[in-house]
Amino acid sequence: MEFTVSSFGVVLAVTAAAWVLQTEWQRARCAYQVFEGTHSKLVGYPGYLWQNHVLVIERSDSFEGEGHCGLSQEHVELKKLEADP
Amino acid sequence: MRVRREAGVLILPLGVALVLLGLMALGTLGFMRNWRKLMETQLRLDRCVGEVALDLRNVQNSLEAANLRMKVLRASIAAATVPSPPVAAALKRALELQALLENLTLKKWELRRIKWLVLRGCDSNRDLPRPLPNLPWIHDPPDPIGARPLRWPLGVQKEYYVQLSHSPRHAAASVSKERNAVEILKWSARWAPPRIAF
Repeated sequence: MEFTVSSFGVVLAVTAAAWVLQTEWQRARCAYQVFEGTHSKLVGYPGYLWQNHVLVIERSDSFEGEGHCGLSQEHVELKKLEADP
Repeated sequence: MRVRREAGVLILPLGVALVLLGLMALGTLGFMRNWRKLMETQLRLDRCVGEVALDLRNVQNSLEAANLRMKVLRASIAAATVPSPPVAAALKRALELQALLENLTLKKWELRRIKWLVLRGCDSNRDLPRPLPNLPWIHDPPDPIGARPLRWPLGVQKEYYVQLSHSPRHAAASVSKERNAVEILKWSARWAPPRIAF
């Protein structure tokens, strides 16, 4: 009985820790990919394979990128050097 | 009677799980740190290149504007309708002032170029800068009317690149003269794909 309860506790703790790690990983990866995708569009440099997974919208003075990776959602805005007339 | 030995039954899987979890955590943190560093480097390079590209654009536009003012002043001085010598003298002084402003602007840009190379960009951060352009404006000698506007040599390009690298990241901007929506020729700056080979 004692063994079962302890094992359950250990499994629960490990699962929770793994979930936290996985969430953080997802969040960081998402932020990086959205940044790279948006930056590529900003400079007109087709350098990144995952660019297609990021929705990038061009505004008159900036590029806005948005990406969904699992439960994470990231939004990046990078300014143009000059606003379009 | 046999005795079941249970010591270690829990400790062993727990230890293995903790080690695996620790390795996963270290790997994750390593990747996260690397991504963060790449983004920070890119933003730092962008900030520096953007600042210098806008400086170059401002220098060129201010020289063009001063040139235009000088042409107007010279036309006024040359015009026979100038009413009196004091007015003509004032116009000449204004013309000299514009020429002085142009020279100061060019000298300021020269200093900017030197600073760019000495600091290797903006903040001495072991970046690799592409040298800033030497602006080829020509000073013609003054004529009887007074100082003459700067002249851009024929056939010389009107597009420049500012680039700064810190491997594996690069930031680049182009500064060029182009027509805007209201058909005025102005120098403008925009982000550009990096030219890897200098």
